[in-house]
Amino acid sequence: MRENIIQTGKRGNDGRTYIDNDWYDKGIAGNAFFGENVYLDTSYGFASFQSKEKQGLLMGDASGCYDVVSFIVSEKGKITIGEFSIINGATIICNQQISIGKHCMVAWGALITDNWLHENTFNVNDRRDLLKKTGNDPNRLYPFGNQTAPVILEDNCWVGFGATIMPGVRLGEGCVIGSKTIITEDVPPYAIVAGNPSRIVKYLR
Amino acid sequence: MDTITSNETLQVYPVEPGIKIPGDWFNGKIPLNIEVGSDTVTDSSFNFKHFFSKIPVGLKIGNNVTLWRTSIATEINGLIEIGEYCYITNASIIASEKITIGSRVFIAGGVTIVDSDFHPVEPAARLADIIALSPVGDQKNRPAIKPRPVIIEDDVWIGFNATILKGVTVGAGAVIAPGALVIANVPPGVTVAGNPAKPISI
Repeated sequence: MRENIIQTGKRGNDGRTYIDNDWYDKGIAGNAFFGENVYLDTSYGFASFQSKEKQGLLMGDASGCYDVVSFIVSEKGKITIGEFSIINGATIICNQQISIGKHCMVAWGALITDNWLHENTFNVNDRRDLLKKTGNDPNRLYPFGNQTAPVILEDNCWVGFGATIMPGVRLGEGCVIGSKTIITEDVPPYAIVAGNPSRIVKYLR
Repeated sequence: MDTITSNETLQVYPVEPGIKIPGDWFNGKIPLNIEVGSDTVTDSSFNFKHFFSKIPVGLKIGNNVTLWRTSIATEINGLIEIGEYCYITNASIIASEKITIGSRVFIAGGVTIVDSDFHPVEPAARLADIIALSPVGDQKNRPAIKPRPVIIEDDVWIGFNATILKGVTVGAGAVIAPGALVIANVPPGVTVAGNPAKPISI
């Protein structure tokens, strides 16, 4: 069996999940749950996992997070990752719900977010107030915005490196998102989408 | 399992020249040759792992700046200037000569800002550069590369995975959309997107 596999129910006395030989020793919040044979490189990516939901994260059997996968999750955030899905060095920003299906691949530097971090990105005064407020907060927690829409990745999606999946998007089963592509609208099943601005290149079925 | 809720907070520490952050997971120090205002914080000295500046002051930061998992990288003559109330997460800021960032600038994850190509474009010079950089080479023999300073003015918002290349000035209040590749100046207040980045209307 490979190292770093989380054994079901292997938790510290504080209820947190710890990975053997983790270079970052803080562990993973107790409301993150893992199926059988889930692989995690490190708990470092969970440093801003602040979900207060009963089940803030569920990773299905034989799924894995490789390198540092940053889970930036608000108190209300809920994430599910299906069986056999591979998340590699990506960032997941969640204020409500992000559902990743089975057999998905998400490559390094990709972002999946269900939250527009600003009420009004294009208003300079709003941005100024937000940064002043955050800069004066001792914990420097960047506030989540109220504009939130769940993101769904259906089964067998492949998200290329550096791609960005914006709030409210549903990626259809078996689709492929090219590297560095920005996805702002739903992607049909089995489509290949690439470019910036993005376009459907072809269908696999 | 009973309801176990998490109690995570971002752990941030004041940036002070020359100190070792208590409990830092990375075995490093904040560099000495920096000037920092008050209430400017970071998560780890790892942010400065590639800070190689040897000039008297290689980094100037104002008050209330947040540097989180960000690479503040400089070559030996590099200078990075950052204003106040900036929030910079998971970005790479790499200065060969000078990168200036104004106040109240938000820089999202995956952003890269560079003021140089760092290697020659011309093939023969590039080959000489690779040999000089190798374990058996001497970095004094590296061909000269001309950096072009980058200026990010006040109140700029830079989206996830955007890239800003050498010589660019981003005007005050501009917005760089996620994933944009910025190779030309952005006028104040304008929103740009795409590769190469072009103004868009919103």
